[in-house]
Amino acid sequence: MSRFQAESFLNLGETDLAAFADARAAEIDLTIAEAFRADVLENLKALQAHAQRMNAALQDSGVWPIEGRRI
Amino acid sequence: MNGPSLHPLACPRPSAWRIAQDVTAGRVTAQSVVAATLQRIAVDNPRLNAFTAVFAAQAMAAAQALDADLAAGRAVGPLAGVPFAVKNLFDVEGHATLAGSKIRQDAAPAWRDAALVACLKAAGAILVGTLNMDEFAYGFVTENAHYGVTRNPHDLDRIAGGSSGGSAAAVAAGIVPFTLGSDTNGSVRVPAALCGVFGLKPSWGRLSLAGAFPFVESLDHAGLFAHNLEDLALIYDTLSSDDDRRVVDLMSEERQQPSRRPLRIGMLTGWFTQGAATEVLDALAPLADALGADREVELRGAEAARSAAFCLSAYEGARLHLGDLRRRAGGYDPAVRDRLLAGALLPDEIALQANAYRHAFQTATAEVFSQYDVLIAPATPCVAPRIGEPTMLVDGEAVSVRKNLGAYTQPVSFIGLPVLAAPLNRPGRLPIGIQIIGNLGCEPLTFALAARLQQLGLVCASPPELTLPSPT
Repeated sequence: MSRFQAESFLNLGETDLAAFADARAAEIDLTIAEAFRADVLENLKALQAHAQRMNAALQDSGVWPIEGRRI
Repeated sequence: MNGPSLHPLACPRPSAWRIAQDVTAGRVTAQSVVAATLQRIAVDNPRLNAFTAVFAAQAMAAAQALDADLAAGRAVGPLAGVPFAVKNLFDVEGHATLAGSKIRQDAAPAWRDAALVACLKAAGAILVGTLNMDEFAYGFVTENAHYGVTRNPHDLDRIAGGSSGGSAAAVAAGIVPFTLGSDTNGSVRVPAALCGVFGLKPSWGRLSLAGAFPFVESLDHAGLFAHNLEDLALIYDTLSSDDDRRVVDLMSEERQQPSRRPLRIGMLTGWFTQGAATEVLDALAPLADALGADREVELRGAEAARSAAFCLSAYEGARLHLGDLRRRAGGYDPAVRDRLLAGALLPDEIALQANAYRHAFQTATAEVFSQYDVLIAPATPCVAPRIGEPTMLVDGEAVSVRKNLGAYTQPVSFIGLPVLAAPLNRPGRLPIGIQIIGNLGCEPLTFALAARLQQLGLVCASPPELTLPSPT
């Protein structure tokens, strides 16, 4: 399991998202070429928005957090 | 329609049923059917770019063998001599499985056919080629950086949709009566709708994906396309032969006794109409009137389900490709590469949340199906966008075409429900398709409703408009 948790990812601002991307890429041994970086960050931002929407619905549904886990 | 449309050859589009009957009865030979198909590919494909490989020699050899079997009085299958083609993520013995990519061009050739391909061949169908797609099935447009864009037969300036764009276009153009595709987030239903043909995404796990290159294994479905509903039923019955009852028989009963068991039909609203073009909403209106489906239904949580599917696709897809993303990210289609790289960065816990939400959404949807047999929703928010158009308008906001054409399909496949995509009957206009959604395992009910809609003249695949051929 990654040391990066959903909660920190969901709440990141744009600047922090870039720093998160660098740290997470290092964690999984992935190099993102400078030429791709801006587009990858744009996609990551879109994923963050989807994850936020999903997370909000999940909290409302009552099935999260799974027993024994908190976010 | 503004753009040029495809000029069909003089040969009408024979159905799979008709071809199999004629070949079996000796009225035509399988060799003549396959030769005509190869001729159509040669004429039409340069404009459509639906095929990525054509197996002319193998197809003619298979047809010759089938004709020899018939001449010798040996039994042939229910699809005797019917030509078909498959999305190029299905294994075909002796060929590298590209899955729309360049980096798999040097992959080892498949040592045997994918399970569905083998099943169709065993039934007498003849494989003529493989079809274009979005790279690794990640997209809704089939604007492939390596193999080019597949054009919509109804307007060659527009996309065919994706990711099974080649599969839909080949059927819409009348080149082959049916094709195989796959659907993870809408990759059968979106191109079927935009190209105006019938498509089926059965329940998750219903059709084998053995020998198909995966995208998101927890969401991947095999699917099929056909120009008419009877062919769709015939092919589905062939591929799912362990069923007690064939959907072909069920459709026949439905036509003879439509009120025998009234279907409880709901029209999905909320997320499934939000942002839809007026043209799409207007096209759907007659359905509710004709079916007496005056009850509007909302699938609560559909938008979040779509978001969860979006996250899970990026996460799981990236995990599958992590090795290649580390070694040779530059070899990917840029539009796919950037999405996969972003998906690789997602924390693992996001995938856990997506799967937890899937359970919640399944539970909520099961309650809806206790009151309804089938649900109807549009398949796409708009007609086929123009090629190269990066954005489309949803609620007045410009959003990415590549990512959003599947907004109405993603929540449904997220929980594996069976969906029959049917083209609304609107000859001379750009196609609009609907999703006929059943509960898990209830494919026959989706066929039953489609048969009723067809009988009412509300759904029908219209051939592309006739235009004069280009001067040569």
